[in-house]
Amino acid sequence: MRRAAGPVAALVTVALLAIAPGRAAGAAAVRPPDGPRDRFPGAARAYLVSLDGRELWARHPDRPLPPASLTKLMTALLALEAGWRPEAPVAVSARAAAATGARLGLKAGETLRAADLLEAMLVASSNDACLALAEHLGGSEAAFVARMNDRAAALGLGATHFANACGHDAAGHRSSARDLMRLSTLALEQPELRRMVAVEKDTLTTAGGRALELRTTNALLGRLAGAQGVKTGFTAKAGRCVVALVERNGARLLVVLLDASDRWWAAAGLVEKAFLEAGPGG
Amino acid sequence: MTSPALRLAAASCGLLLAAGAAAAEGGVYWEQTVQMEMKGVPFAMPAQTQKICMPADRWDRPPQAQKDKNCELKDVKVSGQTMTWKMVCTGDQAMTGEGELTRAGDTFKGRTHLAMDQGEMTMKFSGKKLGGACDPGEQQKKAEAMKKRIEGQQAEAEAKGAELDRVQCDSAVKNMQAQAVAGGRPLCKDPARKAEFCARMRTGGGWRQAMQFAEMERSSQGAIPGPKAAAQACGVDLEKVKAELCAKGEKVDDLDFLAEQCPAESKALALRECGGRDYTAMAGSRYGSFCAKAWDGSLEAKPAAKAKKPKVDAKDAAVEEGKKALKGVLGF
Repeated sequence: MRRAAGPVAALVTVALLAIAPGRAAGAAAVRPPDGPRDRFPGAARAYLVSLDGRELWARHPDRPLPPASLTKLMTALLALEAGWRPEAPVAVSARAAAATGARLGLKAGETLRAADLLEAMLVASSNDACLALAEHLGGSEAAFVARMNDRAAALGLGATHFANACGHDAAGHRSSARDLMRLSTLALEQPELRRMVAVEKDTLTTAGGRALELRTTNALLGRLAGAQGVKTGFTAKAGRCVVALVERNGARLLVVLLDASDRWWAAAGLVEKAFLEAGPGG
Repeated sequence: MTSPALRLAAASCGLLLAAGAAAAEGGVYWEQTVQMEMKGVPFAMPAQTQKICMPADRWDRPPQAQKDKNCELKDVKVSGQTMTWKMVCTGDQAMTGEGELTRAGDTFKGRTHLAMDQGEMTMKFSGKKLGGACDPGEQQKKAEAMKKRIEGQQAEAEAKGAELDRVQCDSAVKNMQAQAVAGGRPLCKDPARKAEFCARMRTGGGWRQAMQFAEMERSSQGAIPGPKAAAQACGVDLEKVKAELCAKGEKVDDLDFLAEQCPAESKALALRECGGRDYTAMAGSRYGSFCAKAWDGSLEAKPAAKAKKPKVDAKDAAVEEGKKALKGVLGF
């Protein structure tokens, strides 16, 4: 949004923001009468906390923001939904091997099992693994991204649009806390994804016999009681993001944080507060 | 089988199968079918049929009670082919009973009803003569052996029951479940275990554990005992205990209790020990869990640490600027 210049332009800005459909949620501090309240405004730029499908607290849950590597949840969902062949050999392209950000260190021409690439993408947020998988499944990243957007539309994720398969900052690459909550809930229905997002560390082996160590980017695993996943994300524009799943005494809590001030304390704190106040015992 | 059922079964075996130790004549084989029903149990035990030896002159005498000095037959009456009687046993296996038996040719049928503290039982029995000579004394020995076997099973069941009670009491005390000391049948009979439970109610950890069941107690309207029932059984005031524990501050036995129940008392500690500290470094430390539970979205960074300011939201900033400009234009 361009900075307003001059009082008249500023007046117009206020008026436009007040009436623009679907975008005014953040302009006015509106709390839907029956919706979740913003109990912890300092936690993140946007967040949503849901216990057993019931939204407890939220801040700007529908605001479109960069989702960073939380994008990979859609990549994973598409991989697992249609004709998934975990043993399929996938050759890493030069483009995939040159991916930036978090990387597994794949080499161009290396071959790995599709399932291993999926695990690396989910556990360690590896962009080279992600891109290799997207190219394998879609023929090209662009074609795969088109499928991602089709799926988002079919799911009614109105604030979501993907510009790439792995979550890099890009114009038009956005989602919202609520959309990501819906996406995560659906993705977690896939047993293989459910299993993988809880992995703390693993070792993969390429077809050529090279061992690759995976370590989770999710600091909650192994530290926060009941933590079972799901995905982390970070880019310069998105800030520190996380989707966290915690299960205790049969209750299931999901937390989505976008651009959190202190991602891990905020996630852990929201979890403890939710179980203490709204759930059956922490 | 439960303990009361075993006792009743033992008693009825002695009553029903005793053929009279003093039978002088030989016996005749009969086939007898017995079915027992316990009061309060929705199903009857399967009928049992067996071949027994009854003295030839059985019908000339009333049925003998088990050879127990504590039991006495009373009101034995014979009317036609029907015999009725009452029985009273005193002592450890005190019970009362009544019975009737009707003979018709080479068949008989009847019932006995026994009542004792642990329950009531009705036995229906019937029989037909099979014929063939036998020794009723031998039958008596078999009856005595069966009675001993049943009494042995009863003792074993009681011992197992006591062990089960102990295990359940241990578990309830460990988990601060109110059933340890409250409810219709408290699991812990040992006063020392109750004292242990009540002492733990006065600690942060115990209080916190007990309160896990508060919602269950509330939603069941007290049908399922919880912390309120436990507090009553222990003679403690839950809120008073909580206030006393909060007043201990950092010295309380359970920092998680402090974080969850004492926001005012935990704030200073949270700022001191949690603010600005790395989650992964803290997670396994003494304050790790406390910090997560004490988090209220406002933990400040330590002065030495570089504070991360939340990103300025472009839309919010534009609106604020617009508002300021509007005020300027409109002169307020």
